[in-house]
Amino acid sequence: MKDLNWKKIADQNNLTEGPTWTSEGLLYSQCAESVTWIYNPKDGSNIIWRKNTGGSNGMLLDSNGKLYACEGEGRRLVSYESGKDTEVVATEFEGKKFNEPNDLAIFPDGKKIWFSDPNYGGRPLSIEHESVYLVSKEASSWKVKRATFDTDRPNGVLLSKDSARLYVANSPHNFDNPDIRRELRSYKINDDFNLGPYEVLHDFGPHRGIDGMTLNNKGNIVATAGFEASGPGPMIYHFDPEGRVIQTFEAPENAPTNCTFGGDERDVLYVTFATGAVYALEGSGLKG
Amino acid sequence: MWKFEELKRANGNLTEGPVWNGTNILFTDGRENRILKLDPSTNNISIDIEGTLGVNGLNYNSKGELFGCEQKGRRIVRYDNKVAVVVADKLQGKKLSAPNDLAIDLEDNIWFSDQISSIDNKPDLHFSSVIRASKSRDGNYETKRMTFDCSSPNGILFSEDYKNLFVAQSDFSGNQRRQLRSYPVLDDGVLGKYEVLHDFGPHRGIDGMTLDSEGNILATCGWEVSGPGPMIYIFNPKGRIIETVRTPCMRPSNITFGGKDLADIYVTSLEGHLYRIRNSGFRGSLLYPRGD
Repeated sequence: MKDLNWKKIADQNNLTEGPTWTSEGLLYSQCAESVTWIYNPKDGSNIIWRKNTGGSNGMLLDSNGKLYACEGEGRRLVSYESGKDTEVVATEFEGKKFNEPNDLAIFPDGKKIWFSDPNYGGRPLSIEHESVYLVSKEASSWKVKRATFDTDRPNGVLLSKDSARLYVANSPHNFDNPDIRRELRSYKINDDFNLGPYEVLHDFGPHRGIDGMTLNNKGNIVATAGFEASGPGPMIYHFDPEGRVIQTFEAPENAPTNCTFGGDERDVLYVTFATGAVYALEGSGLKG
Repeated sequence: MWKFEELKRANGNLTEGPVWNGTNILFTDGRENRILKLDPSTNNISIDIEGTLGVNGLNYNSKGELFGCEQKGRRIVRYDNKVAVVVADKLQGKKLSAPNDLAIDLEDNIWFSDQISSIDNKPDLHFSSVIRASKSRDGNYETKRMTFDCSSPNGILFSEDYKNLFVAQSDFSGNQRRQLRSYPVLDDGVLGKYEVLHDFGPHRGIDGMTLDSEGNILATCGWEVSGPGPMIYIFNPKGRIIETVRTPCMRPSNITFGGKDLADIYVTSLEGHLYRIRNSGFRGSLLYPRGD
């Protein structure tokens, strides 16, 4: 096994998110600037791939390689294609604009997308709850349905390997309030694609919980969590589907925000940070 | 990979309190009021002390004197040539409830967890807490309540520098928490505000703990009912999970290091096992006996 090696591949001025591995390199969001970057591992360059992305945050490819993104500031779920106008997927629920779409998970058929709609930014709430939504393609239009009724502030969402469960990071702040929980939850997906009851896979206590997650080839959850302010610190967690912490990797900067596997062998873990940095972790022994 | 050698089979009697005395592992069978002894050279297990009053946690002070938490006897005792001598049985003039586990500091003060929930008859005290029994000039021990915010303390352990007391808050009832907490030991001997090192959510928390030579905490946690399952967690002193190891038993109860160079790990269980793990890669750090 190679030694654990963190390599800084980008250093933007503010929070990076939504790392997505494509055939051209690593896409990632710089939310506050509404810019999407592309990192080319061959020459180490970082080039602006798209501008005016509405505070784009989490991004994900569907099984056909179509790219979806959560525009937090723009309050919508969209799809980007290079050289083309933004395709709008969903903007509102029951007549109200979303709060701040954050992160997404896509069913293998490409016709169902779950996304989280928290309100970290501090704007007045548009919808009075912070929930996960399911957007389903019926004929040529997308329909929006509320998926969670018990989240305080959902963040990262991820499908299990068999697509039978939706992992949701419930990650409110309010760290001083002992009654507010930061949990990794596993919701059962019913046959009608509504969510059943959840199990708590991990409880972060009074410390920063999970921001983003990705799945490895074994069906385990690799998650970014923690910060310098309290607890064990900024960390990459490797959970099994029952919530066992198999291992943890200390992160090189504060508040890792999201991660994805990339590289030819899918054995490089790309991690974005609240500091604006993006790192490549090699030698973790994990593969996407 | 850890290999668990089953040295004692389950018989339904909780085993607890494993301690190393330099030659043998002692551990408890509280239901039979016994302390058992493992001879690691033969793996033979024999009865060492009988007639305890439901002994649970055991520990040595720096002089090698053996102390035990007698749950049914509602007291802390010292086993003096296998005879129990009462060290503490009251707090604020009231009978203790059910002492569970103990940790001993560099001055040989005895810190123990006392649980009202583990008592069949009506408790005299109306709270569970960590209590310190400190030796006064006349040789008697005086007790003092040390925690005011643990509804059910279980395993307790000092950090490597004795500046923090790790307490497993492991309450199964209602909205109570199951957490690993770290209390700073302040200069005047009282405990400061705790930090939560780990929260077990709705699942079984920590029962017993021991320290390794790097200052990490090895803890027995979890169960078959919910969550990630029965496990030994290795935490660093800030609560980072360095490693988790599944146990073959459903509910591991306590853990200690022993053997040459304190390189072997011993684990007891609610089902009544004693296991040994060799070559875990971890080494122990005990107040007594101090390794070479």
